[in-house]
Amino acid sequence: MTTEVVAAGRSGVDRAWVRAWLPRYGVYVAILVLVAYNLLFTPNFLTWSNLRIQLIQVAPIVIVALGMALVIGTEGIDLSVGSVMALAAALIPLYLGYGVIAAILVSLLAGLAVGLVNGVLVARVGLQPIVATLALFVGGRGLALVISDGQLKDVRNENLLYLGSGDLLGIPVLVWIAALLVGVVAFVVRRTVLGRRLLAIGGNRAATELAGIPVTRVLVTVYMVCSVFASLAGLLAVARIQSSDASSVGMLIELSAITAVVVGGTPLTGGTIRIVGTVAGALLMQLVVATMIKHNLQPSTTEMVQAVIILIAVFAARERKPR
Amino acid sequence: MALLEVIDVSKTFPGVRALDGVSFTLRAGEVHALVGENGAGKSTLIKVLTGVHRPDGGELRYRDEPARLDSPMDAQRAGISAIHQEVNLIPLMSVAHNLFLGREPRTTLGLLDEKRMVRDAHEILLRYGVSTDVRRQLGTLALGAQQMVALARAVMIEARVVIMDEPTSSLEPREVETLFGVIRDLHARGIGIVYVSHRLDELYRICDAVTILRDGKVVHTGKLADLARLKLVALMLGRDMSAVRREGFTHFASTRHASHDVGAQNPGAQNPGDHDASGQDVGGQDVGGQDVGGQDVSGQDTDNPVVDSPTIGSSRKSDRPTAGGLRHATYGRSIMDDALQTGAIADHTQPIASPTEASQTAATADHTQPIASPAEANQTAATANSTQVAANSTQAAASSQQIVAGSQQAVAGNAQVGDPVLRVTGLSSRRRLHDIGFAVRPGEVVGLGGLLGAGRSETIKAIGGAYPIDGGAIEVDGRELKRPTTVRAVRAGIAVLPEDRKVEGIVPGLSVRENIALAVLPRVSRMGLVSDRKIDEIVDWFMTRLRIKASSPDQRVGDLSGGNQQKVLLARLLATRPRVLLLDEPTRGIDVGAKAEVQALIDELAAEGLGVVLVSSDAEELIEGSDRVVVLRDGTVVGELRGDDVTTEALLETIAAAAETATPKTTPSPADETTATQAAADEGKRVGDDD
Repeated sequence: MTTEVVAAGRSGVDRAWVRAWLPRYGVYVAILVLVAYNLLFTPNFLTWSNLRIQLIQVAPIVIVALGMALVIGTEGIDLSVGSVMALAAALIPLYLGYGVIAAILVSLLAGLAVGLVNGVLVARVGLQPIVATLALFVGGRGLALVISDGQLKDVRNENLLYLGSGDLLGIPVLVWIAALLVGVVAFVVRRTVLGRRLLAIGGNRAATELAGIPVTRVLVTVYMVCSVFASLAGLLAVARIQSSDASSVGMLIELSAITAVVVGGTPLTGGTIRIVGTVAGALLMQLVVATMIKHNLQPSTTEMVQAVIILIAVFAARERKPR
Repeated sequence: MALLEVIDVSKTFPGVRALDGVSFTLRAGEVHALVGENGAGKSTLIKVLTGVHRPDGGELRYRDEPARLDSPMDAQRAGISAIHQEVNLIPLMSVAHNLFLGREPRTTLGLLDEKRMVRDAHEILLRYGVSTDVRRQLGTLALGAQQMVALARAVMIEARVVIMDEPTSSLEPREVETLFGVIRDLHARGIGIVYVSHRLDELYRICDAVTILRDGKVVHTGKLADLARLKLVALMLGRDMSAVRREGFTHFASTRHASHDVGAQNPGAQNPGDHDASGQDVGGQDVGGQDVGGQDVSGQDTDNPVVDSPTIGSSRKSDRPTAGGLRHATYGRSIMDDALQTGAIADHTQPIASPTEASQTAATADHTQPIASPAEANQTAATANSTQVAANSTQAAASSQQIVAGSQQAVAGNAQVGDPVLRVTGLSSRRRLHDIGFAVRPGEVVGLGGLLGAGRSETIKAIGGAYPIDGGAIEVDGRELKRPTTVRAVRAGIAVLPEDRKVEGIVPGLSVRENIALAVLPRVSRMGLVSDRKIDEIVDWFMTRLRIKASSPDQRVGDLSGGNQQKVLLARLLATRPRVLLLDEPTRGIDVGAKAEVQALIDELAAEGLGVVLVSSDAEELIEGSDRVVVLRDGTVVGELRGDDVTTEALLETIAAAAETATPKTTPSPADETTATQAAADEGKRVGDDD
């Protein structure tokens, strides 16, 4: 809706310019509009406690979306992130007895393993990413439920809980972690060999292969990074809600993450990644939901609005077809 | 009586005139061969005939009446059906359903009459040599059988015209015989057939008439029996036999043919008879090819290459036996070792002068002189060394001003000396390549000749690790490339310029800079972190050197012209400092000016000591660009042209002769077998003197 307004306002000026401009910057304008609206019409919007809640809620989505952005940049997609979160969450209470570090390592390792399987299926076996990751989307949560006996387990380890609810310099640790990862991923995409290679693969896999780039290795790495990020988000979720519930942790997060990436201006066709845009995309969706809730709209209405935003984002980013 | 007639039809796509005043007549009961190289306009013509494209101008007449075919559906309804190379059916549906798709028999209640369908399908397919349970999914059938189903379906639509686009490309010999049986049957029933194939023996076996297209124009049409094979090939490759004798069509002319001249002045240099004896002897003494390889490796690992390279150069100079070899040593460096030198520029922080200045100062052989650009830096250094060898100083200084000038002599010397930089033996790949072998020496351009589908692109890709092989050995600089993958091939010094630039070459969404740097990222980075400074040095150097026209290094490659895209690709390959360049249609689809530049560049690169393998459908380009031409057919080497034999005539003769005499691998027939022995003898004579 907000992006539509922008589009309508500009289209009189120059169509082509809008086409290039909208997918890239539309999300920021939408955020500004939404913030302005909230400042005017939503009571208690600009309070620290409200912002804090919004940031804490959006942090896990941002973390998962970062990994997803990398995968989408290679013209792939990873549906298994929610299941990986559940898997990580299920493993935490089992290994907490060996100490926080051990528990965290084990859950991250589980993510690494899932990513390895995804990567091998996509890059070596040659399955389509959506099919390959669908396997672990289904199987991963099943395994998590088996591991946890399908029970909700309370977690009371202070060190772990600090990650979920503690503050550092007045800002939640969770937000620090997410911010740090944003920086790292942005750096990887822009400055490293891995980043350049994964963009090239997304841009033209056949050509990249022929140029002598170890495509398999790059793809496996990317899927492993994505899954590790998801498992990190999973254990942070446990730390925040102070319990581990494999049946609910990370439910539908793959959709939120993909939405954040797409709304942020990263095309599903690969070859381009917008990290800051991805963060903005996650923030926008969070703001939309928060605004709706604050104005007592039904959750179903919220979902429909989300759907419209996704449609606009995809529509704006679509390839122009020569006729 | 004309069944289907195309009169003066033209079709233009953005930038391409695909059909230019084409007229074509198909009579009832005629099998009409449609031949031409890639891009000649065959597929466009087929698409016009089947209603996919509407012509811009001209007339279509069907059964003596003007016809309008607005869609493939129109064409099918009119009775024109086509079977394509790839089967266009639904693999998950049953054979019977596929056969009757859209025309299923119904019961009186309007329901599908499954029983009748199965019975009829079974009966129909038996006539096509397919005896299978027609309730099976189509996808479970062999490709040949699927093709037969497609054919049966095409004929069933009460077709009066059947267009077959390379129908035998996926068939086994037995299936080909069945297909020919069906074609004869259709022929007898008065159905007109347009037959597209590159297999000459097939054409001569079953076709009555032929139309040859080239560059969107009809260059010949008439009875096939009246047309000699040689003439057919000549027309197809666009060389009028009288024109073959003229020379100097491409921009290789200035350098390649000059090298032939030098060869003539220097007996033995280009003489094929001498080649084996003297060429190899010199190669034995002179380990130049391997030296350069070693030098490259050391260069990659060195942080201070400008200082190193002259040292290596001079140390080798002393044991260089010939002037040609020396020049090779000097010029083996300029383009390929760019990055190595660009790295050095920053290290040395020397004042920057213009290229001309630098090359002038080069003659004074002073290493502390200002350095202009990586190339000039190198030449300065190289020249400095050359001057120590008094005899060569003037030539070296002269050639440092213009690389091409030196290259003529360099090629003359280098094509003959040195061990092969690339040696391929027994290369085989299931159904596509059979025992292919050839060798390329430093400074040599070896052409791969042959018609479409002869296995040229497959050979190149197999060497580059991008096409699966069952057997054979690939050696680069004497080192075997084991289990080739693209990664290993690039590391070994093999660079492949793919045939389809858009699909396998460029990454359109990335910038010129990223595209050029793609293959050398590890070298321009430390601990996985990319150095933009180092990339910019390489990119700037190549953009200047190859005259890449882009608004900036940040421009998207997808927005560049074809010629500039090709240059970007060449830059990417050269940045990997290859030993061998495999170029598949390097000038296809680029404008005349860029074509000339790319051709000149190939010459330059060879002159600088690279081994080049050139594939081109353009006979002129192949002949004038190559020192030797290896001729392929059906994935086998059927001949080799060298020395004075490297002419368009000889190329066409070899292609035609191979088609005429050799037993076709796919379609053995008694007629062909009688001459097979002779062909084998012929082959033996031409092949096997690679070393």
